[in-house]
Amino acid sequence: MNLAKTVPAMNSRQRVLAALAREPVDRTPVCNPTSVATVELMDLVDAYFPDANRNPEKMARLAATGHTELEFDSVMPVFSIIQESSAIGCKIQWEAKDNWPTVKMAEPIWKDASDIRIPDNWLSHPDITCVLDAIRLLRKEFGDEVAVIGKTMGPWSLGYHCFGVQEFLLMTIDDPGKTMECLEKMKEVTIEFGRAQIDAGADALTLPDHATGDLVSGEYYDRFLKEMHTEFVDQIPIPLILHICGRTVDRMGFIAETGMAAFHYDSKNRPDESMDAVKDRISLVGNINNPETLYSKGPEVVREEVYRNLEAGVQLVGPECAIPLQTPIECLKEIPLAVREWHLQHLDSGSAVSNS
Amino acid sequence: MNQEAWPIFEPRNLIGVSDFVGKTLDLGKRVEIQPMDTQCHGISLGLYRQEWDECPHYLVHTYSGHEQASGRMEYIRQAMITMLGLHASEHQPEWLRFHCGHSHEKAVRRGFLDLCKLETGAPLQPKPCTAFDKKADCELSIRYQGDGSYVIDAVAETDSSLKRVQALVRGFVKVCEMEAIESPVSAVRFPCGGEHASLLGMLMFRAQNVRAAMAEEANAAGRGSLVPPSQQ
Repeated sequence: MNLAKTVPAMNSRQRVLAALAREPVDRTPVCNPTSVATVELMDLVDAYFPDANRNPEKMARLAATGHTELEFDSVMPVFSIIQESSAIGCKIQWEAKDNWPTVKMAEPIWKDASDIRIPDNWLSHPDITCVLDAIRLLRKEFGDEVAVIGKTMGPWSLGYHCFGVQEFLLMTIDDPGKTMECLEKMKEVTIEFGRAQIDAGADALTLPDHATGDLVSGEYYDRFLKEMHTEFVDQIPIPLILHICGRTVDRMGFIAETGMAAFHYDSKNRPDESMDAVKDRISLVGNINNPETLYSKGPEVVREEVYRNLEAGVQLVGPECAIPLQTPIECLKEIPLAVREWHLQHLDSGSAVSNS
Repeated sequence: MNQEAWPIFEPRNLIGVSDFVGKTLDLGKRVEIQPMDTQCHGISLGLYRQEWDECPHYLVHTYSGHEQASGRMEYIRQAMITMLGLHASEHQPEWLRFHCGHSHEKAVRRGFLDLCKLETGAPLQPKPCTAFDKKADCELSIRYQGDGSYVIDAVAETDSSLKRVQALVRGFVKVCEMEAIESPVSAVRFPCGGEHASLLGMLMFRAQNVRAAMAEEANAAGRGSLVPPSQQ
């Protein structure tokens, strides 16, 4: 970690945006590109799943707790990964308070590239306007003080939702040309939803595109997605945070060449090796393990993982993915506490962090 | 909340933020949660643990503002006293502890989840340390021997009942973190050396069906975790 000369105190939004641009910050921001909603926070603000995924005021209220209760530097209202899939016609299982809504991928809506029809009015669908209205509310509520992060799903993830996982992956093997045609058609959803969220007031967008380490190789990422992700940087003029789960060191070099602002990375990748892989061409965010550390191991282990990220020079610290809905609040609060204390311990050698 | 170190914005209160800023509490370690209490409007109930004077204490808490939430919390608290054998702390009576001063955390967590299935207002009384066992085709019972030790007896001495006694020993070892005693082989012991008949009575059914209990725990732990589309 390089410590630079003191920079003026920043508010949360300034801190997040500076770190996404790899500019100096007064301390490392705590950022959640994905959901930090829990069942207890839902109780606190009377905004439960599934309503909090469909009602803008509830969505905004629950998202606000990321800052007001957990003291993260960002708020992120798009808890699930199904909003746009719902709008373009996928069947959704909305579940209850204690579980995530999911796309019924066993009932795909398309079989072939020629089937792809994006409804003309899909941006007016209630599951889309809910997100846009929630972002507007959060922007008004937090002004310029807290970073508001939106989310637009990438075409690879939409492919899983609309064609089914197995069918989509088989298509990539059987007919790469047709796969590219599908991705080209579906990318319009990513771009249009992203732009609409910019208009609504988002400061940055998470772009999950689940070319995950367990199913897709780094070579696949280079062949199918790298160029398209590079195009997104031009088409969606706002800091983009690419999210891909799993072991992804083999493609981090490619990801770093896309021009995206940050990569939201999984705990299956060590912070030091990941920083080596991206070579200061993109910020890293995330890495705090969800299913074990945040869910069940307690604040001491959370702190160890936060420190490992800070020692490696990771630009923004936060959970690796959407946290389990039953995550204890004390584990989440430990992340900003640990960041603050780590910086206090390093005050002697300078109080600001250089991300350049 | 340390407002000096973490300046909080001035809420405009467009979405009711002022009503809940900084309302989460430092309650220690949350050891268990009922995420959606079907007996009380789907509120979540957390079980928190703190140590005072090296003695573990437990608290039932909910962040829900529902009008029936506080009554539900108090009912579950009373149920833990009556059916698990916990006692109110002298200094902070909403917190509960065992007389022995040990945590018996695994058993308390399991008992808490089972108590959350009771309807508010249902009569509370300790469960007997005797239960009919289908596979043994007879009643099994637990007798206190002192020093935290319990012997398990079957009314009928058959091959299947002896096997079931051994299964119950293994069940209590898993569910209540007890020790199996070498002689007699049908005995188990709490390492604290204390007497916990209420706890054993409450969890006897779970110990009899330990595989189902473990499967239920694993299922509950996986619920609420978002997995990527590739793993759905």
